[in-house]
Amino acid sequence: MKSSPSQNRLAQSAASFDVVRFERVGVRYNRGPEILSDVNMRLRRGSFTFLTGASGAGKSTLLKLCYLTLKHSRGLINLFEQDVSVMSRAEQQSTKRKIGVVLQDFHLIDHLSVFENVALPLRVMEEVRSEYTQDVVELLQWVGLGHRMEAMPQTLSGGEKQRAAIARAVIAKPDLLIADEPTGNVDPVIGRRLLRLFSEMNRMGTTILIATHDISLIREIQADIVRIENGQLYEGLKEP
Amino acid sequence: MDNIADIPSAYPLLNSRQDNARTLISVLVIMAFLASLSLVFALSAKRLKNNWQDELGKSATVQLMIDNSEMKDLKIDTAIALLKEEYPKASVSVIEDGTAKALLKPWLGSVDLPDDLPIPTLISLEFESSNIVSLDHLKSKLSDEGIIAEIDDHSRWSDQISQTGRGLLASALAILALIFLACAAVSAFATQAALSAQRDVIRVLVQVGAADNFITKLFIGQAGKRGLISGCIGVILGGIISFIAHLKQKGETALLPELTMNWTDVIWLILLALLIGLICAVSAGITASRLLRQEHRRS
Ligand SMILES: Nc1ncnc2c1ncn2[C@@H]1O[C@H](COP(=O)(O)OP(=O)(O)OP(=O)(O)O)[C@@H](O)[C@H]1O
Ligand SMILES: [Mg+2]
Repeated sequence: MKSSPSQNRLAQSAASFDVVRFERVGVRYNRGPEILSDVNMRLRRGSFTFLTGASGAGKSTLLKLCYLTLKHSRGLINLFEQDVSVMSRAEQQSTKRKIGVVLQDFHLIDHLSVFENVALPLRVMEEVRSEYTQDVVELLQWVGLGHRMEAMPQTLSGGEKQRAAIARAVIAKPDLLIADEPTGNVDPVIGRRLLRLFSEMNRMGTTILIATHDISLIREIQADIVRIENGQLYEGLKEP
Repeated sequence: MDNIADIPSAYPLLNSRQDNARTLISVLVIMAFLASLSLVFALSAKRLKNNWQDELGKSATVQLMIDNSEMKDLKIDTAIALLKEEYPKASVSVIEDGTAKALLKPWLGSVDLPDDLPIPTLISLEFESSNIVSLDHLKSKLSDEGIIAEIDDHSRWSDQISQTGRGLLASALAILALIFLACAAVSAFATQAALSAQRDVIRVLVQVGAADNFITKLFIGQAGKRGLISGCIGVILGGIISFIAHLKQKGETALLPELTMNWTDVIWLILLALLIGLICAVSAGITASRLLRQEHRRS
């Protein structure tokens, strides 16, 4: 089949598809000072980005904007080329299904086992249990929790919780993976293993945004780096 | 992978221990118990009313006023023939003077009644089944034959009984409706409490992209299950109490409706338990979806 001009345009736009786009975004909590001001950011589909900055700089805040848990005070935020400020509830919900999130404090559900916590996104999408059980088990074994599948979150170590949270974030093969300090609680061996998982997902097409102050982690792989300083976003690491 | 078989079937996503389920279930059990008593009461009232009307409707008495004693036998025969022609299936019989006098005893005391006391001749009519048509037309037919008669088809009593019966039935149903309303309110309150008790769980569900309908369904399922369990316990207790009452009162004649049971009542009680579960589920669903929508508007 001959490619028509419209198909060419389609291919072009797919190549430059912005999974996340910020334009002059400002955000404040309640009546407090602006944590981020005039932030511009573009995450192209398939990109891998590290977000750094001092503690309290606003890394978690920026991530919250990306996974629709915080509303910006001004500027424009597009997710998957859709303006978040005009999204309906249903659109927000379907957008959230495309995003896997690993939070700094994990947010595991206390009364559910590790297996159930990890299977949660699939259950919410009302997938058939017998079809995903195998996938969940395999992923848990891969992150080293094969022997703790029936454990309750309270009985896990910090690193184990973190791996459970990561497994939950990736189980539904999200288009965008957002992780806040995903290697903060694990030893370097497991940290590198998780990073391999992320870059594996990235090779499969998942856009990845990871907040971290772990410089050695950043050095492990080839990735874009942005940093927050005084409420502004800059490229690259801070010059020493 | 041998441990797949060990994965138990899905846990409930809502933490059943986090909210005060036990209080809710106790309240619902009490309400289901009261509801089952009013239901049995309503059914008993209906049955009693029908029984009374049946009994009354099955018989009628024709009073013949005969002053000419020479014509008495002839007139009685004429009347009987007419009645038999009119109601071939009914049993028509003359109430003997002796029996008629005995019937007067409660009013006149046990004095010897003089033989020449003009006691009206009574003819009793017994129908096979309850007779709903008025018997007034008999009066004119008899008078065409020159017989003056009064006919008592008990319709005056029957009207009163059906009115009383309807009143009792209506009050029992009104109580039932109030109990249903209270169940709905309790379930709504419980859902509201559960939504805030399970805030953490809901936050995670929302984060992984759960639709409002999905979350609402969780609350519908939980409330429906609790309503059904409480409904069954309450109804079983109510059924047992009603049955004991039924056994105790058997054989005594009843003026006020008392709790009597019939096997069909069991079906009604099962329906009642199901209905309580349904009411709880619907109320929880409405509450949850309303609160989730409110939350969305606020955020
Ligand atoms: N819910 C909130 N209400 C008010 N202020 C907040 C809230 N969350 C964060 N902040 C403030 O916003 C600023 C940025 O916080 P944020 O959590 O984004 O920092 P961070 O870069 O993630 O830090 P860390 O590396 O320690 O995780 C901080 O000054 C913090 O006090
Ligand atoms: Mg943070």
